[in-house]
Amino acid sequence: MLYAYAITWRGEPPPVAGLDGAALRAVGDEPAAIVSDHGELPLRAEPEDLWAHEAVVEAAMERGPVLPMRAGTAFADERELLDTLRGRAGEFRRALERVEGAVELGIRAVEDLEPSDNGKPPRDAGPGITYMIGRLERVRSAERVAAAIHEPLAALARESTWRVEAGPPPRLAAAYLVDRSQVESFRERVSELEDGRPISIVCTGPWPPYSFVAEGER
Amino acid sequence: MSSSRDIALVDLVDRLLDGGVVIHGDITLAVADVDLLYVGLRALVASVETLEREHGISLTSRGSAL
Repeated sequence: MLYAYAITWRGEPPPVAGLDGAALRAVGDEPAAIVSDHGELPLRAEPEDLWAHEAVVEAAMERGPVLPMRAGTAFADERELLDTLRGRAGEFRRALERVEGAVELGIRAVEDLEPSDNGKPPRDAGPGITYMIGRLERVRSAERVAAAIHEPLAALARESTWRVEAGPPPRLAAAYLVDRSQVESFRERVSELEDGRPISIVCTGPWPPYSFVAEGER
Repeated sequence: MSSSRDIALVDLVDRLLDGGVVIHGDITLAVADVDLLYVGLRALVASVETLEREHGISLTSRGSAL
């Protein structure tokens, strides 16, 4: 099978090894896919495999825009892969143009505050009421974090997407498509936003644009 | 592994499972293998998040860029 890492413009693989040390090759042209050949699915649920997969995508990203594949994407043979590349060529080309010159930065943010007293259920509240009040408090907390953090950061990004992770504590998990030249400004803005606010922020990346490969908004 | 590496791993798994190009259609995938892989990845993330909670390392590195 052909294990696929990413879609790129150029039919030329990056100068690194693939999973299991396999040689990389490119199939197709504008768009092309970076693949390696295997007898069975080479990706295991182990950190070293995930980082090895990621290393290929990042090496490809050094050469130009990439669309990373979802983990575990494999094709029976070259013909199947070429059919997919041809069938979706327009979509992939538009997506490559969309992410050109940009990287993805990830944010997780959480409020440091304990839930406020008025967010606590009455002492005699049943489980249903307790659940609903807890849920409301989580939604409010997430909205506060989103207003304080997401909107200013989105202003520095080409595109952005966010969701709330239930927790506890609830977290804002957001991704931003940022011009390479703006990465340092973005990180400085993250530090500024954290200062003086009861919010902790972790910024990860730069990543390949995993969250910005699909057409339309999530 | 360091805590920052753990947090980055959670972010990576998030992206590998929920992001990226999805190929639909009659691709001859080793479906059982991929399902097993995803179960394993979810378990990996759960174990890292448990570690984070137990050691209080989650989201504590102020403004860090990993």
